[in-house]
Amino acid sequence: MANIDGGHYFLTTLIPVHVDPQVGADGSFTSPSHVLREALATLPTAQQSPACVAAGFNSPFARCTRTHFVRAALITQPMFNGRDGGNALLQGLRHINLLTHQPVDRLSRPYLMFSADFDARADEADGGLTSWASDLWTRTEAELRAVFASCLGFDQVTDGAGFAAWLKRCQIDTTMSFNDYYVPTVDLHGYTMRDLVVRFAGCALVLSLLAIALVVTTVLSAWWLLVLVPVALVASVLAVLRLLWVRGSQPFPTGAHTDLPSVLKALHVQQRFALFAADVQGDDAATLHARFGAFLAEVRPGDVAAPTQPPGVIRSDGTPLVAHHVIAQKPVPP
Amino acid sequence: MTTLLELSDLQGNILTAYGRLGFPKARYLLLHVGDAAAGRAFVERLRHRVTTALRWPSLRESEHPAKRAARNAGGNPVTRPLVAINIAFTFRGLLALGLPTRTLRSMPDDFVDGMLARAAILGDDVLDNTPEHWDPVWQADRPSVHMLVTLNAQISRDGQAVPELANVTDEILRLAASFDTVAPGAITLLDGHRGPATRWQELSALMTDGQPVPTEHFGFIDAIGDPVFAGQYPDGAAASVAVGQGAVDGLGNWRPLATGEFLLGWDDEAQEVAGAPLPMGFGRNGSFFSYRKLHQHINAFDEWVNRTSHRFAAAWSFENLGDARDTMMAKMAGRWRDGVPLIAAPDVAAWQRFNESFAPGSAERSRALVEFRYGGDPQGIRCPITSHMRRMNTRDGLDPRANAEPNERMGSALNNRRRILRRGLPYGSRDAADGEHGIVMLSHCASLSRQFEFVQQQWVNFGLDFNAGNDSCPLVGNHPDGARFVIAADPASGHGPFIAGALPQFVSTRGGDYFFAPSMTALHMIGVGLVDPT
Repeated sequence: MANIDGGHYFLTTLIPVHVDPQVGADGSFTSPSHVLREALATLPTAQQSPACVAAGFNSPFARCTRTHFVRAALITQPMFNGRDGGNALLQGLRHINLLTHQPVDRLSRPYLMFSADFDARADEADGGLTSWASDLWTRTEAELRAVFASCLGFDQVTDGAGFAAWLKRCQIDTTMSFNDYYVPTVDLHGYTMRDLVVRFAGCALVLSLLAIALVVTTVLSAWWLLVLVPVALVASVLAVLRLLWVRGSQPFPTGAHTDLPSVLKALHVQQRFALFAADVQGDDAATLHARFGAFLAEVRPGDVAAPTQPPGVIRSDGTPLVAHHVIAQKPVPP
Repeated sequence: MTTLLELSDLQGNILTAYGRLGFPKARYLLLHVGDAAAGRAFVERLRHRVTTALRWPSLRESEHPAKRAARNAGGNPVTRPLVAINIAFTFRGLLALGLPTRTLRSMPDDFVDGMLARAAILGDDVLDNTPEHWDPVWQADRPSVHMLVTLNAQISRDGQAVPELANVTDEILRLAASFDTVAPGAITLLDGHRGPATRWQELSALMTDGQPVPTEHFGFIDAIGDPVFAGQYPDGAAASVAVGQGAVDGLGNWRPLATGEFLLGWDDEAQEVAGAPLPMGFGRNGSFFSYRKLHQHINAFDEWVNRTSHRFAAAWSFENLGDARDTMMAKMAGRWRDGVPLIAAPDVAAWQRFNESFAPGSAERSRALVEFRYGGDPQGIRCPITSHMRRMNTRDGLDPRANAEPNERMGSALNNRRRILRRGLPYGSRDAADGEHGIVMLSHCASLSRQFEFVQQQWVNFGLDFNAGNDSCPLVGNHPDGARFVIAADPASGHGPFIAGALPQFVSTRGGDYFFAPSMTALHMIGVGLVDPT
């Protein structure tokens, strides 16, 4: 199942958006997609700079400790890349009238693409989608309502389970996922060309021998070999391709320490250890031993829960973030 | 296919830095155009004085023999001027000169924006890089900079710029003032440079005993490595000059970079022609460059290096502090103070051996200073991965197939599209009472965003491509709280890696903008008002 890979769930949904004009926040009539864009634009970002921190907001998705990434984008219409071209001479010979418009793909309404990368749950029937969506609902109901209010069918959603079921209705398969941090737990290796040739040869040999056996036992006439041997070869090629397809569709096993709490803990330990390593330079062995003991006791590398880096911040070692200033621009010449 | 450049169509200073050609003094004038017709007439009058890339006889015995032979070939139709004159424009300048809309809108976004608008990309929105620290002439409330006239001068026997420099300056100012009768303020010289002269930027190579030396204020010999591209040198010289300076494949074969990485209208390393202004004839043989006035905090640098060297000496068991200090500086730069690369000489003893093996000024030394790769030092044990030189020109250091068989490696493929030609000169002196000392860096390239800005943002001020997190360049990068520089150690030495922390800011921006250096053809088009983009 392509939606789950390496222990992460890669959710892709395409959610239809209402088209009837609605009353916006300021009382004016506007399009539902515009209301949706406004809701997305007002979602706070993570605390990436002193300005974000000072504003006192954080990304609502930082409240959930299973969510790695969430992305929302409004798709109004597919890109039209122009008429399908062709060889002008051939088109002329075929009497193709270039003035007759080719069909153009259009969406009947805008769609919201809502995708997420979160920690999967192997012990749950749907890989953890329902529990994740319910948890998200519990923690960010107000923001979800603001975003999805413009979407079809959302008015029927009243609770976390309903939200999960509604998302599932809009889900499409993720066919290509990108896992930002994957640490293999087993030795991953695919088939080499030699592996495939051996399997092909083995399969072809068995099938051919079977055909020969049928001839030898006079079940079939020898002329049948002219048919059966090529069939055996083709079947062997198909069997090898099938093998590749099945193996290729298998998800990678869950990576080591790639769930969000572990990733956050790793970031925290990494930052703290970098400071520690710089700090203990020049210490004698006894002092270093004692200080490393104190470091382990304080940072507790094996304890994923605490101390750790909270979601939605980019640093947790106490170093202040650099302040970015607004730069006044030159006026545009009259 | 041989790339044959029409040298007389290119402005000088692009193919070779004037500082290396016997012009150790310079004066940069910034001008504002108040009247388009007068501006064009000014360009047309000045155009005839512009120094092109035509080669003149070489004076320098120490020059790379292939380069010198190239320079002296072909009859040398021109003689070396006392003062080289060149012109470049900002986007606002081209707008003020009345270029057609189609030409203006074909300019790349980075150039249209100008350097001030790109502050967040360049790291000019943090620390003391912000524009309130810039020289007044560059600030947002001042009239826009439209035109840059650079005057690069030879020196007299007394080590001062030739008197011709003052004469040419006067001549240009008189020419500008002459348009006041047409329209008051048609061409104005913009005042507001910090330093001894406020009306222009004074520059000078550092001088020792009245002679220029290629050293910058921190004490390093500068401008050793510079990209070599097809057409820059005549065909016979290109192959040998490209060694260590051009592109390298996985087997270690060097070749000149594609011309289009530095000159507009030519094919580049992606086998395409970078976005260039229309018409093609207007852009071809032109080049974009960033002008950056960079202040060097010399006292902070000396103080930090001295203080950190004590700890470094203790950590790595140096017998004397001088060696620790020299090594610390070399690890930061990637080269020893005299330019010897760490890859060739990773410690003090090897440095001395290198200098005994290669005589100063010899062709062998010139080649040994640049002919090296990073593939054999993936951990940065000889040359730290985050050192200045290894960031600015990554050579084969980022080869994604570094572990493959040599003929399957990619060499410098990820570096070839990120090269810049470094031009410009230092300003001020180490002991300047007003604290005015640094370098005006001119970085020529075909795409400011792909080359100059990328290097500045990703390789100077960030460390991810080097697996070094947020660590920035120890010399010229931004150093906010938490800045650190890690010096990898050879495990066989018994020492641990040395982590140098609490780096203060060593280099800060003091102004600048993005300029277009047109070809002589384009200068003519501008001058006579005949840019036809149809």
